[in-house]
Amino acid sequence: MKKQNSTRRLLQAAFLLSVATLSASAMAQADEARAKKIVGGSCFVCHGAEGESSSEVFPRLAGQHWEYTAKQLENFKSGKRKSTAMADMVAKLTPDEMAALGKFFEKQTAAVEPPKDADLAAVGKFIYHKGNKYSGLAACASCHGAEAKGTTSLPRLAGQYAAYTETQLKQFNQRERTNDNAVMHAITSKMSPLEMAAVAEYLSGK
Amino acid sequence: MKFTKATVAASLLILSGWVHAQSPSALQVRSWAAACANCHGTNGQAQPGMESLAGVNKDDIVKKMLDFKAGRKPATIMHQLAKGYSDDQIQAIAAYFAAQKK
Amino acid sequence: MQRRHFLQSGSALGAVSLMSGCATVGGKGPKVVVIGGGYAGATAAKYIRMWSDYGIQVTLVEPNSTFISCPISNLVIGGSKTMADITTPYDNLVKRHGVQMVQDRVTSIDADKRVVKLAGGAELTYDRLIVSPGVDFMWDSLPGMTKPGAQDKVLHAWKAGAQTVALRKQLEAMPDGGVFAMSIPLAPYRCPPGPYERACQVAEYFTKAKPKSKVLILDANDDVTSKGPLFKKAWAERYKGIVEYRAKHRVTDVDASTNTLKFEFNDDIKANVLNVIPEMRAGDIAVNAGLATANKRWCEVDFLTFESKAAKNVHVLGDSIQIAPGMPKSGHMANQHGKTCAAAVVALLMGKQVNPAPIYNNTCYSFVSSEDVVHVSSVHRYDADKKTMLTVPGSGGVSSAANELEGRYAHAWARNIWADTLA
Repeated sequence: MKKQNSTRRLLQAAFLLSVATLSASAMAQADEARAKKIVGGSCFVCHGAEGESSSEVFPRLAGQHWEYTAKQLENFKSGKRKSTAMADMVAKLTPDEMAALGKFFEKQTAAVEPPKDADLAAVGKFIYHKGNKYSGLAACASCHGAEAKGTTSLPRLAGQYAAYTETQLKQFNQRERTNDNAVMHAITSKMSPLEMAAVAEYLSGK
Repeated sequence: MKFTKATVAASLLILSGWVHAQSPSALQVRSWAAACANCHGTNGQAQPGMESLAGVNKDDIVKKMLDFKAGRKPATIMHQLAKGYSDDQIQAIAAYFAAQKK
Repeated sequence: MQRRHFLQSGSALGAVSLMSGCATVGGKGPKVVVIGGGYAGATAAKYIRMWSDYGIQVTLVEPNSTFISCPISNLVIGGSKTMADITTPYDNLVKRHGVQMVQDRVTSIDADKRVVKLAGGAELTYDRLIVSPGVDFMWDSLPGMTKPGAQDKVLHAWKAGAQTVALRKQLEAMPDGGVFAMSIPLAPYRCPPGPYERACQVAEYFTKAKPKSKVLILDANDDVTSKGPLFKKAWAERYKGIVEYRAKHRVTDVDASTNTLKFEFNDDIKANVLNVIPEMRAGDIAVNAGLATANKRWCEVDFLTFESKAAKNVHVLGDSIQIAPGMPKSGHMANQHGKTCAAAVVALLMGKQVNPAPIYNNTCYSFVSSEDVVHVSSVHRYDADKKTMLTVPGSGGVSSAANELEGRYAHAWARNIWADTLA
């Protein structure tokens, strides 16, 4: 009798587990479908259908940590991060949708091309990994990682368009980039224009 | 070759003996409806900030447009545009959008 | 095997066909070449692809690597928008619609052989050609502007891009108390309300940053050419003491070294920043190919198909055309041309009936400040007797007053038309 009960319980547990897994993956699928719909409706026009963004005017989103992307979308919506282009695009997004979009983009990949200016990129490589002890600039790698892949709370920088990265560094310095500013302003205030351009060039090919 | 609904409808109309001025061909309606895309999006699928028309109930669109046309519904611009179309054209265009994928 | 029907040009409308589609075996559908990837050309390229079920091959030749919109560019000059806000990539035309994009410039058209030559050396054959090169300026009407360096110093910023940024920089560098003088040519010109919107944008910037400065509008026309009362109200109420409007001031020459405007009947005017919008005509390629049949400036077309009156199998769209009565030269209208022509070209190439009754609209939103907008709208319908587009009586109109709601609609309009044109 007892044997049958425990078998039944085991079967019940297995059943519940499979239902839970199925519904979790069903929910994940629903999230992805929702994200694809939103991307296919509006994001793709500038960022590309897979976040690959073929134009350096608009940042690449493919491969970015989903928490970071979702946070940026939230910051655009609340106005914490100012952007004349993005404000209207996110006005109706819910937190769930922002997470779904982040997760969708994280799964995508984009082809990375070698930097156009190899010499400038070499300067950037030095700064990225070693910082500048003469100006007291910390190495970017100490937070963003040796492969520039970032973490769940720090953005991936590898493969991003040089022009976009350089603009963000400049904006952190001028406090025109109004979020994530606490550390980044201190960092960029120690960077020369050459160092900003060089690091951005290096990262675009990583 | 794809026989889209529009082309089948158009061919039936053409084969049925010339297109009368009163009954617009499906392709003609598609062209008329395309003029709305500048604000309401290609095939009525709008970007954020404007209402989509794709997949919206036909009678709802017709009622709104007729209300705009008659001045019953306040508007900034839609009353001015609605007055440029006959009621039949409005019916046909609304039916087109109702049939579009959301 | 699919049957392909090519209508001989000049045959009567409405050749009945038994649903012969375009042959797509081996990708060998009919070929369309589009010259110019602006509001008209890009829209035409996309819609020809879509409406032929991707059976017609489309090649779009455009010198610029990305699309930058003139509409909304005045807000970049005013400072409330960035260049990124008015930039849209061409990639979706390629990826989603299979348009072949060639970044180059067309140097000649052989309408008999149906071949265009590109500056880079290549040649493209076509079954139908669409010419939508926008406008080019008649610099000879301002001899001083043909001197070396003049056009780099005195800007038009009437083609969005580098000059938009450059004009903004000139305004930023201007000392407080300076004068910004903008000259407007005799109509018709691209974007009737555009200059007046620019005056508002610069005036708003001045009220915030350089309150002692002046905006001087020198208009060759007898009066404001679009939404006159609404603009004048904005200048009087929002920018009192900053904006001055002078009609009937036709510029006849410019001295770029001294920033001086010379007029037909008035005294010279000197300013800190000059913005000269010269007289303009159809784009160079259209004029050089003999398509500009109206005063050698604008290209006459058949309004059912946009086929040129000067060349068979060649269609002209957008700002380059000789407009119908009441039809503005606007981006919105160019996009409508693109769709009307796309439907006609698909019909002509696939043996379907050309729409005998096109009807479309125009909407122009003008920002009198960074937030508040006024609009003008019109509905245009084909008149079979007069064989042109006429405005529908009782339709269209303007805003009753500038308001912020329409400002939001204007931004939505921009997002939607860019997606309709390029995505």
